[in-house]
Amino acid sequence: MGAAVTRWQILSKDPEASTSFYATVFGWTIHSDNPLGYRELRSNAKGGIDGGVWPCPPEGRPMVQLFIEAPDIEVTIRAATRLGARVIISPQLLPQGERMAVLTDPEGIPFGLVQSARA
Amino acid sequence: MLGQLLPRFLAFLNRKACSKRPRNGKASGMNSCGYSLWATEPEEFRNWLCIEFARRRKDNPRYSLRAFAAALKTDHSTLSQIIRGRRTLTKKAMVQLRCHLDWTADMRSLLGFASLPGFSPDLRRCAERLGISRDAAAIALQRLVRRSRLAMEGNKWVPL
Repeated sequence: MGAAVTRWQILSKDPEASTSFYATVFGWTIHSDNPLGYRELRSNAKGGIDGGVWPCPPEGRPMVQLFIEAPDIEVTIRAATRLGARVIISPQLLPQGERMAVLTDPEGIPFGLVQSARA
Repeated sequence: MLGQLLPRFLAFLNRKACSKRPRNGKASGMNSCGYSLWATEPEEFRNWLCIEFARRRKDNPRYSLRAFAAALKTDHSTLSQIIRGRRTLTKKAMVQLRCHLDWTADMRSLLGFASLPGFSPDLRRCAERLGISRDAAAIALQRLVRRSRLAMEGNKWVPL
């Protein structure tokens, strides 16, 4: 079985407006009570995945990033870089215990990797 | 001599730049004249440097070329030659200058704050203490992590 896409992230120049837009149109709920103040959007629906909105720096482009589950983030990064991916953000340990990294694929499209918190 | 000529030269460049449309369509990091920090052409990057210097002098008329050179971690004679077009701007030089120019006040503040004893990695609290918005703090954090100046280690942020 292949690795699952576990979440998405919108990088927005106006995160407040983007969050409000998606919450209003799709009935998603906003949760930002976390140490990073990250605006999580939850559908509370069966199936599908949740995501969030993060501010996009002025030099960046607004976009949607997919986060893919990596059982061992270092191994996945090695495999990806061997095939031409580039590491944009090296693995970071998030406050909830997950490890996250951002890479670009050989075409330059960014995607994230998430390793679940170890029990 | 340079002190007399430079403001006139900068004013000329500023007028010239403002009358031109940007050559590349990147909207990021552009100044009001449409010249981008991310310009890849030496001439365009040189213009960006001139305009950025003029902007800083407008904010602080006592801001000197020497101070600008110090901010760019280069010496003022080299910068003067670059600005006057007497020195070739290599891609490597552009990357180095860009790296220093893109280091924002928010990044400096956040990194300094993260180095304090008893620091708590709560972005909202950081933003409040630094007097910046939560999103500005998030962008500063993202830039610091991306440049490997700060590592997130669970409930700790470690300046590198």
